[in-house]
Amino acid sequence: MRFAMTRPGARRTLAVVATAGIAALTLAGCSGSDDNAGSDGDKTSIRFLYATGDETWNSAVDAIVTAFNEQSETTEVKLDPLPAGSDYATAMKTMDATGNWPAIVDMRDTVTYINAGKLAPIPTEVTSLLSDDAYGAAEDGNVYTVPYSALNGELGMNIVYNKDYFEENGLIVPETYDDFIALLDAIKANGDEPLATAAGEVWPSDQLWKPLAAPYFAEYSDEGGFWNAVVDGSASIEDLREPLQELLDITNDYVLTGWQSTADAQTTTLLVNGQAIMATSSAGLGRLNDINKVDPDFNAGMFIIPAKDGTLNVLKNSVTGDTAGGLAISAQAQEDGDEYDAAVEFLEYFYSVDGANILEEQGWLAPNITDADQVTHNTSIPGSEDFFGLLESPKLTWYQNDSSSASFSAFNTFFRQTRIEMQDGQITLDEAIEKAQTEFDKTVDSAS
Amino acid sequence: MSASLSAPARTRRRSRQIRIRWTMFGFVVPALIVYLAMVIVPSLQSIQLSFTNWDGIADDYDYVGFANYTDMLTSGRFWNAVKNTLLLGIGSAIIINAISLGMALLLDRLVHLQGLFRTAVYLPALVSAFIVATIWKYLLNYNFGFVNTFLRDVGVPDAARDWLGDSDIVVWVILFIVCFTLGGNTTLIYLANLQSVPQELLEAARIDGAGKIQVFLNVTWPMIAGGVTINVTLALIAGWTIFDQVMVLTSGGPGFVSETMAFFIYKVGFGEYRAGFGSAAAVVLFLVVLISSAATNGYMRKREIQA
Amino acid sequence: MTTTSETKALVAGMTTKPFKEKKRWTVGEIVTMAVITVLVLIVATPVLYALVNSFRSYAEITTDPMGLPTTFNFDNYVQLFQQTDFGEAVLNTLIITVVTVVLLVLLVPMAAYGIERVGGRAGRFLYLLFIAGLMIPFQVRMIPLVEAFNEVGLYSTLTSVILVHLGGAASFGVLLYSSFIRGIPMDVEEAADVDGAGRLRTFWQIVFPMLLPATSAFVITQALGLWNDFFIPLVFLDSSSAGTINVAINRMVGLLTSQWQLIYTGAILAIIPSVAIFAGFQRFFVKGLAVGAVKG
Repeated sequence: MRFAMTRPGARRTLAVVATAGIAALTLAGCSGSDDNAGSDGDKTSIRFLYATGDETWNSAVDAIVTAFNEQSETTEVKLDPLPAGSDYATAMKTMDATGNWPAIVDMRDTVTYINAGKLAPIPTEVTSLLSDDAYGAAEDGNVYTVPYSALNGELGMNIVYNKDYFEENGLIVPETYDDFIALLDAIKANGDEPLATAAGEVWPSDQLWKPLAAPYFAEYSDEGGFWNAVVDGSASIEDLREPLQELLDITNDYVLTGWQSTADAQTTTLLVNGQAIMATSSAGLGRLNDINKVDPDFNAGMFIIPAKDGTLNVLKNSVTGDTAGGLAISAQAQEDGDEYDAAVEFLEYFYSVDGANILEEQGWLAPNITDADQVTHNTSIPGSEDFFGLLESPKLTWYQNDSSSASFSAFNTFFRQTRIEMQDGQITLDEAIEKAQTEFDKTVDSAS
Repeated sequence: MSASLSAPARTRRRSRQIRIRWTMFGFVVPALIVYLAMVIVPSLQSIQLSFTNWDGIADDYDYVGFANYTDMLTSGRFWNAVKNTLLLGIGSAIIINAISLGMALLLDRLVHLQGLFRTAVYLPALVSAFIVATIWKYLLNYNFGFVNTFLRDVGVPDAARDWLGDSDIVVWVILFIVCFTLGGNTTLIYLANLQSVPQELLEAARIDGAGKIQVFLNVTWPMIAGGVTINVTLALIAGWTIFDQVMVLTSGGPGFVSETMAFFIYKVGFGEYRAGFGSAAAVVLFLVVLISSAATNGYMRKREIQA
Repeated sequence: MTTTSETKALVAGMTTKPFKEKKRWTVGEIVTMAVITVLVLIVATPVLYALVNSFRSYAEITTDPMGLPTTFNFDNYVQLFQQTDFGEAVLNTLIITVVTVVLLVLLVPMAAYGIERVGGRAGRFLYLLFIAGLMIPFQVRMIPLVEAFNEVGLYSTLTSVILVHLGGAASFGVLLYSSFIRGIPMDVEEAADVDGAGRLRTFWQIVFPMLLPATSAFVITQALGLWNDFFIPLVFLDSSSAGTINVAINRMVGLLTSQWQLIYTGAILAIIPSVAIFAGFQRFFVKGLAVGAVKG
């Protein structure tokens, strides 16, 4: 028989194979835990988990972590970028199902995690570095998240435009909503594409929607926000009919074809190549930075879509509540004294003047620290003066819209997808409203 | 055998046989432990979870009876996912097997250099579905992709469509990409099956004056029918769980239009913190697999017997 | 039916066309070769496109997606290696693949043998139990498994991925080996009649070698599947691990969605190890598969 083996031969093979198996299993056990936090020589090593997708934030994080590591004698921070391709929630959930929490986390869906006891309170050494309205306490009186930018809210939800084109064609930044529509018409009449937007990943669909819905949301700001009003019954999704209609019309009439599969970062290229004259963005300064990297000669500007009366309604994230994004320290790190201290040390650096300057250099708006006057704003990037101008605009009105329900984020994803369905013409406006309302009643209402 | 032995000898033999059977069981134990732990127990747990409202994070949850199931079965989103799953599953199983059989027939005709061509045909199978889908995602980009640029360059700009963003065609595009293959393993298996068809039978049929197609239908096909059944059944099972391509190409979008059940389970069960609901969907998927595999297998075995 | 000599030839992976090797080249054959070549090129187009563009810069690709590279620089490759843990991802993939395959070969043939030899109702039950796994999609066991590994502290280790794959492959393995083992007469074992550890030796020294065709088919199909798997490592390896090749590329795609040149480069990088290994073991690949196929 061709494959017959001698006894000693077979035994040897078996022994080799078995040893290899055991050795490999041991190796496997080791290499999997390679990157876990631990002590790296004398320095405590901790991980900093952050969401990617915004290239300016990526380089800002990189810069500040590198600078921190260089000056710290006791701590080393390791970067832990989260894949941006998938939903942030999915990525966080998968990570949490572990117990492999990094020490510092760029948080979303905060309420869920606070309630599950996964976050550690931020100590006063850190919070004292921040100006008072930059952070807030959760229900139990502890502060769990601290901001990573002064961009507390959707100030970065802008329209980025081609300034040179505007000049050549005598166009100006719109002051009212009707001006905005006229602007779109004018560009279209020239034979050019007015607006590029992205829905390839689901989250950028907010970029066109939020500014349109903002005036309507703002009406409920003093009563606890629109979404809580829906739970109460004093408002419903039907009240959003007008902005949804506006969204639909703008998509049909003015948006560059192919938006359904365009990824957010690609709108930069479209803008720079002249394939669209304006583009939506939610990255504030970061988008200007990206544009500058791709084409240093591009003259970019930015504005916020105004309401009919000219107000700029911008969502201010409550510093607590589920929309409070920010940096947090994991409860798991708190259990390890060294890791906790290391995390605190890093946050102290983050909110120092040096730290703020490093962030600004990268084109990132540093958080509102108490020593904000010592921080140098980076105005070298084309368009950044527009952005800082927005911060000081008299027409700027902040509004609140936090949902107190922990399952709001699931509804939010569904709502985004439903809007995309509507914009894509798969369902009608009426169907979209009905669908969203039903889902809301099912998930948010029942949970809260 | 035992009739010719004395009574004590028979007892000894029987007890030895029992011992042997226990030893044989011992052989199964290691694999059995892993299998139970990794497959059976979690599957049963999923069934249990499907009756709860666990979110995947909290330590406790409540039982909600059949609420998850009713929610799902009344949701259009679920049925859309079922539709896509069926389309992709059945479509890919049939098309890929047809392609594989076709390629095998082509290869079978070669007398020279068959080894070389076999290798060449197998090469595309080395690339993972994930990588293939990733490349295609960029090839199909509406503004910058190779496909549309090519179409515009050769003068048919109207043919340039938003392949991954047009809700009317996106599922078909995904199907196309899933089937864009030369078959890999399946092709080689069919080739081996074809080559096991005895020459004498083929010769006899040809001598009787049968044309190529008749030879195939009456001689070759019956001989490989068994292999075809197995391959199609396995391809179907794989088809129900198509995930990589959907995730990479569209993430179920635009809207919900291209979601499949496997993707839906990952997105909702994991991403939207609804582990109980996701488990219910998984159970439903399992039932779909079960019923369809049994049905297909039954159908094909019948045809085998007829053939 | 096939003669014994033809069966032997089959088992050795050769064709059953036993006539003159010096057959004439026919037009039909040339045409067939041409058709096959064209088909292979068509299916290879995406990969070829990615290869070509991995040598171009971002600007080149966006301004002229159809163009050819102007220079052959490896900048993209260098940049990728610096930006990702690609090397470690390759190592992880290798470890997962090799360890799983080794363990499978150690456990599964033995189990199939045991199932067949236990016989009777118990044997039937065990067989059906294992085969049932073929129909259980991974999603059905996914969520509880994540939770279970988390509780044991094994989440995001390569061990978890290996164990998950072991469970999944056991079903197919039992199916494959059982059919082979049924073809092996029991008298061979009766002849080496001992009990206990002797049975073990009998299996490994006598029965296992007879299963080599099944083993080679099994090893090859599983190894390729493990190497190219995306979903299971995606679920079980979070950002604390460098991941496997596919997972690493996925993360990179997320980080650099608009940097086409790096995406294409990443895809090529992911393919290189597969091609290299295949080139080295090519003979075993194709032969081994053909062999296993006939019996299966």
